[in-house]
Amino acid sequence: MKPYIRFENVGKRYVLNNSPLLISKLVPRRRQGLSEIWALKDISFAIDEGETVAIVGTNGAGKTTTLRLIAGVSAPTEGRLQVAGNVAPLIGIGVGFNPELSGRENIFVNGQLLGMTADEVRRNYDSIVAFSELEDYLESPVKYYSSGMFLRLGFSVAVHTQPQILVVDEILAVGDAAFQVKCNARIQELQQSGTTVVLVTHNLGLAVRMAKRAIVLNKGGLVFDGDASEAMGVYHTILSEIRDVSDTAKLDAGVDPDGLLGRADVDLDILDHTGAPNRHLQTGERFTVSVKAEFSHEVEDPCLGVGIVPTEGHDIVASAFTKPGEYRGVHGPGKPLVATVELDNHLATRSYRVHAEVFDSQRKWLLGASNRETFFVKSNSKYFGTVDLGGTVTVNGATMDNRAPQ
Amino acid sequence: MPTATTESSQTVLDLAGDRTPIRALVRDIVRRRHLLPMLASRDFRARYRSSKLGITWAILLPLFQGTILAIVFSHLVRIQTTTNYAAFVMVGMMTWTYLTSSVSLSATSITDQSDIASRVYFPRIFLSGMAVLANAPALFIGLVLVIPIAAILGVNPTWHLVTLPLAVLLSLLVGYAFGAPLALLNVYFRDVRYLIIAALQALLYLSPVIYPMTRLHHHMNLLAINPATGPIELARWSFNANNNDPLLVPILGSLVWIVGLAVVTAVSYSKHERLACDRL
Repeated sequence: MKPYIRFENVGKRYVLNNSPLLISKLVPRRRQGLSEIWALKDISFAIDEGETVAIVGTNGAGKTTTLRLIAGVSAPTEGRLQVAGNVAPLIGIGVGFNPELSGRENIFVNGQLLGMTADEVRRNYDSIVAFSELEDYLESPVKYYSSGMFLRLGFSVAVHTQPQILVVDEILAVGDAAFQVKCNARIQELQQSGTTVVLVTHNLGLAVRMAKRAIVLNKGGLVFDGDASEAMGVYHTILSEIRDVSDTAKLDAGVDPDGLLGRADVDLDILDHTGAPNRHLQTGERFTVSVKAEFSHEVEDPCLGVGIVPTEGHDIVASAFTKPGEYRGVHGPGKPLVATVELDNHLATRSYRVHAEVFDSQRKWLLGASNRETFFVKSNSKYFGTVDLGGTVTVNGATMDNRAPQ
Repeated sequence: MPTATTESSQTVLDLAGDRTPIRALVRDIVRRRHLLPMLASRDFRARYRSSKLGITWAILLPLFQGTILAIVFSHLVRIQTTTNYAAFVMVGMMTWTYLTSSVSLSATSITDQSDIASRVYFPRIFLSGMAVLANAPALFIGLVLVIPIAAILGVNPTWHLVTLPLAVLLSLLVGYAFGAPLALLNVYFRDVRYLIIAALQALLYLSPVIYPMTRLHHHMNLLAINPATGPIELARWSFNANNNDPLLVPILGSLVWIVGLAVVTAVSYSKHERLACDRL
C-alpha cells in the first residue's frame, strides 16, 4: 500500500473560553457567550508517496492544527481526513521520556510510542545510540541530561522509526549546529529513500530548500497550493499585510529565503579601551564591538543589532541596535556595512558571548548573523552577578571592602 | 539500516468528522496492544526508581499495612466474625485500597500524561489501563504476604488459594471499568478527581471491608450492588476468611458493572478519543 495524505473539505472548530466546571455544561453555549474559532475551514489537498511538501503560514494560520490532524492526535470537525502509512511526527520528539528512567529505557518507551515494536527498537538500537552520540550516558536517568542531549536522543529515535510519512515541525531550529547539520542530512536521506515529508514551518528559506511544493495557509484557509517559489510570493503578500502589527513580531525575525533579499556575511571583533583586539576585558574600561557585513545583494537601509549573553545563559544582558529607518544607506556586493558599538563595561567577572545580526529595512528578516564570539570580563568587585554595580556595604557605620582579593 | 516490519506499515487513519469508529478503535487496540504492558512497566519502574530501596517498597508498604491492620484489628477493634477478624479485615482492606487507588490513578491518567497524549496517537484507553496495571503488582504482593501473616493469626491456607489470581484479576477489571470512562470525563471536568475522592470515602462504609455482609442479615445481597464487593469477597474466599458471606451474587454484581461500563467506555471513547486531546 502506498502512503498518502488526503484532506477533503476538512474543517476544525475549537470552542474557546470553555469553563472546565461541570455547571457550565448545563447552560446553553450561546447564552454563555462562548466564542468558536475555525482553525481550519474547507481545506482540501492530497500528498502522494515520496513528495516533500512545505506547509507555511503565519502564527494562527492553522499549521499546528494541520499537523495534529495528520499525526492523528486530533479529529476534524467536518470533512474527511485520510492518512495511509505510518507517521513519525517530529513533534513527538522525546515523547514519553520519563526523567527517572535511563536513556536506554527511554529509547524503548519512546520508540514504541512512535510506532516501532520492541523488536524493531532492539534491531535499530545500536544505530540510534550511534546517531545520538550519547554512548556514555545511556545508563544515567534522563533527568541529568542537558536539554541538548535530551533532544538528540529524541531525534535519534524519531528518525529511526522508518517512517513512511515524516512530519517535521520547526524543531530543526533547536540543538547545536553540528547536530542540526546531521539532522538535516538524515531528513534528506529519508527524502531520497522515498519517505513522504511534510514540513510545517514559517521559515521560508527552509521550505524552499527542502520542498518543491508548498501549501500556504492563512487564517485557516488554503490560499495557495503549488510551486514552492511561487508560494513565497503569496506568503510575502500575506506578511506585508500584517508586517506592522507589533514589535514582538519583529523580534521573531525569520531567516530570509535565499535569493529574495540576499544574505549578509557578518563578522565581528572585540576591541579593548586601547583599540586593540582583546578577549580579556576589565570592568570599568570601555570596549568596542566592531561589525562588518558583506552583502550578496543590494540592500537598502539595513538594520543592525548586537547582543551580549552570558556563556551559561540565554538572557541578553546588553543590546544595541538600530531601529527601522534610523540608518539610511544602500549596501551590496563590494559595499560592506561597517559599524562600531562602543560600550561601557559594567559587566561582572564572567565569560560572555557577543553576536551581531543584520536585518532588512523593516527588521523583519534576518539577513545574516555573526558567530557568537566569547570574551572574558574581570571585575574588581568581590560580589557576584551578571553586572557589576559597584556595591558598597555599610554595617553599623562600618564600610566593607568590596574589592576582590588579588 | 534494517527496515520496519509490515506490522507498523499498515496504518490507515480515516476520519469523517470527529468520531472515531469503534471498529477503528478496536483495530488500533489490537495492532498496538504491546504498548499497554510497556507503558505499565514504565510507570511501575519509574515509580520506585529514585528511592534508595527501590522496588523493595512494593513489598515493604503492603507488609507494613498488613502488620498494622493485624495489630489494630486483633486487639483494638473487634467485630464478631466466624473467622479470624484481623485476617478478615486485612484481606478486605488490601483489596479495597487497590481498587480505590486504581480508580483514582486511572481517572487522572489522560490529564497526567497530557504530554504524551497531545503529541502522539495511540489508543487512549491504554493510559487508564497503564495506571491500573502498574498498580496491580502491589496488590498481588500484598495478598501473597497476607498468607504467612494470616497463618500466624490462625487462618491456614487451603486449596482456595488457587483463586487468588482470579481475585486480583477481578479487582483489576473493576478498577479499569470505572477508571477508563472517568479518565475521559476528567479531561472535560477536572472536578472529577475530587468527586472520586469524596465518593470513595463514603463508599468504604458501604462496602463489606470492616464488617461482614452477614451483618446486614436479610438485606446482605444489597451490598452486591456495590462493585467492590465482588473482588473483596473473592479475595477473602481465597483465604478461607469470608465468614460464610455470599460469593457468587457479589461476583455477578461486579461482572454486570464491568460489562455495562465497557459499553459506556466504547461509546464515549468513540466520540471523544481524539476530541479530548484538544483540551489537554
